[in-house]
Amino acid sequence: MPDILFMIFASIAVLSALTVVLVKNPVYAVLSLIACFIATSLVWLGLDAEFLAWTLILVYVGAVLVLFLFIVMMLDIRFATMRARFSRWLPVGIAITAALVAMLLAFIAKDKFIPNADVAILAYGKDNVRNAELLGNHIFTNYLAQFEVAGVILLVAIIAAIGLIYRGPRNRRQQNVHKQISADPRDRVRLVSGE
Amino acid sequence: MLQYLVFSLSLFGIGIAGLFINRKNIILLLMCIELILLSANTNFVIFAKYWGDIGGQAFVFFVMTVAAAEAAIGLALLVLVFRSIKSINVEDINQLKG
Amino acid sequence: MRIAELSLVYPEILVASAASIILLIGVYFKRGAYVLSLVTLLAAIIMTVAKLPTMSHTIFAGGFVVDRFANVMKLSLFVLLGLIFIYSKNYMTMRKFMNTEFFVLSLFSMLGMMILISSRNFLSMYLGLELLVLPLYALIVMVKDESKYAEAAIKYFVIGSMGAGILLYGISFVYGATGSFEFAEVMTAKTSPLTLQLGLLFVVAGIALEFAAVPFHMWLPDVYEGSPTAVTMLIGTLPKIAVFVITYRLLTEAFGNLDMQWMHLLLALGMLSIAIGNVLAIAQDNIKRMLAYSTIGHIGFILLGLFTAPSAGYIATVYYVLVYVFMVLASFGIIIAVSKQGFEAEYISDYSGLAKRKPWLAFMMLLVMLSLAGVPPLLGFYAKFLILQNVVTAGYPLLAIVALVFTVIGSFYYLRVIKAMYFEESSKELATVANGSLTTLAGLVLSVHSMLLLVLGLVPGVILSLCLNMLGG
Repeated sequence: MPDILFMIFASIAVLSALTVVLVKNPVYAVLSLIACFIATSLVWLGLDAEFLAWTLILVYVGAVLVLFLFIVMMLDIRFATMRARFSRWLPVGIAITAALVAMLLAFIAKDKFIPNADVAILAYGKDNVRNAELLGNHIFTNYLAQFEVAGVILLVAIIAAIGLIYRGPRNRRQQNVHKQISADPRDRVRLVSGE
Repeated sequence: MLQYLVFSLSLFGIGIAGLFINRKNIILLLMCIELILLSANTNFVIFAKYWGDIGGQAFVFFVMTVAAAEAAIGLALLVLVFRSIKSINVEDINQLKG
Repeated sequence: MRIAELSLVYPEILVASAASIILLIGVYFKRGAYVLSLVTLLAAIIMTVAKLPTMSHTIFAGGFVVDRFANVMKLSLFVLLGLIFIYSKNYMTMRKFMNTEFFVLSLFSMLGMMILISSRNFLSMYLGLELLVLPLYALIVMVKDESKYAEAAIKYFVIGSMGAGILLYGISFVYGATGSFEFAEVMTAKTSPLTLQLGLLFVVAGIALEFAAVPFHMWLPDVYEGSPTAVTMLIGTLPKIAVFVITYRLLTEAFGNLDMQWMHLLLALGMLSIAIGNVLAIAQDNIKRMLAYSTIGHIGFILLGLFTAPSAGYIATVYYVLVYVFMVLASFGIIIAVSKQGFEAEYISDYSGLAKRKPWLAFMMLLVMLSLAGVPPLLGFYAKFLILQNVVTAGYPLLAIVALVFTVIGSFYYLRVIKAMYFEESSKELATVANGSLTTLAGLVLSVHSMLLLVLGLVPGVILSLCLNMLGG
């Protein structure tokens, strides 16, 4: 990926990530997170991860982060009352994080990661196969069992989320069709002489 | 390659810093966890390109699935907490003696 | 993936299908989920015992390993989960727990543990861990009066997700250093040693968070206190087995070639856990928090055992893990037995005078507490003895003495419970306790369970030979 494009997208991503952490209004925070994810997805595009870049936007941003946004709006958080009290923890947190990042960087820079020229290009694979096909082949031959497990994880998430939140019909009128059909007119209406 | 790693490192750093300095609400905690997951995913994509191995991208595929499931459950729990204490401030969650 | 490979994972397929079917049937037959879950576990036990493998098979392109160790550990999971179901049935109905969901989610969580136990690459490990842990987050809050449990659930969720994120970050570095997810290939990797060590650090940190090892132990007491006792039973027993197995696999298969520095780190964390767990438990009034801190102490012993690997150390550690989980299950079972509708039996003072009211229950609690403290001739003693013996032979007799001292200090809080039961006046709550929270089957099983602590303690060789058998094969 041409360096200039990478610099632009990476800067957008990092700046949005900073905004997520620093801003007061939670809706702005979620929107910044969405911007960060979209910028990262563009970076991935440059790293030959075409299918994943698309999936990131479609699934992650489109489903998960929109869910975040729904919840934030539903909970009606009064952001005006949330004082940004950065007091004690800010310097410690930033110091620890900076130290961690510096250490990681030093270690990684030592093991120089310079890609070989003859390594397969993931966008086209060895036999001029597209990235999605390459990925699909790999997952469905080697990782089929894990794929099923991922399906079970999703099932568990559904059961858990519904089991947690759903409280049954409240203040709702429901029709009991069985009772409606089995109603006997002789119980309901009685003819009385009008004399 | 190094510039990509710096990028993902900074995302990780911002996520962790957000976890520490967060005094506000739980949603911010959840979003910082998503940032950490994003940085790990980016790492996988970078190294997949380095090794020329599609396996890294396959891992990202699975992580995205799991992260979606986790976010769903986490947000459901958040809604429950909100229902019971009518606030999502981290400091209001102090009934259990830490 | 070949069809022939599928025959090795029949237990997993059974559990997954059964859980789904129970979910459906539970809609129509409210009581059906309990019976069906027990039937499933029984079938799984029979299926696993019928074909215990004699050698190790690696299937699913290196992701899954089926060997004797894995299968025997899975057997222990089935048995323990069955016990948990039996003990918690009445407890849950009384608290209007969502019946079907409890069984279904517990079965799925156990499926995650089975996958974790059998995993041989980082992908299976990550998926197994997540499948293990996601239902647990939800189960904490699935009661009628959910508000007081919500706090523990969200705390557990945030810390657990943080751990999973850090674990994932570590895996990404290991992948970057070696280009592969398989444990075996990670062991023989020669490139990028620094990044590999970095990845290892993060992976260990992530797992330690799940295991509640010091310094990541802060969430355990809150979660134990803030969850319904049936769910505490689930969280406190089964995951420890699964996480121990994956730690064992990581140490032997993936990170076996790294230096002694890591071993010494294990030793330090182990000693710290023993110290902190035993000391902090003394101050607790809530029996569940006390058990949480004692858990931290026990995990310290497990870390000590891992430090004294190989072979002799592993056998002692496996023995300790199995015995410990067995004991803790009994203790939670008794807590459930004492509690009833609206009365949780959470405080030590709630147990005052239990000996006069229900002497058999008090005697069972006596057995359990003494076993946890490590008093001979009960089961817990031999487990601690084996580990300390290994520490001495590894050349650290002083540390073994320190661990022993802390254990003795720690036995104080177990004795407190015994003192409350036998030597104090009964509280008003206890005076009206009916034979409430256990079904007759559960009461019977619990009695056998507690007696086994004594019986097996007199003949510790039974379980020990089982461990030898597992690991040797």
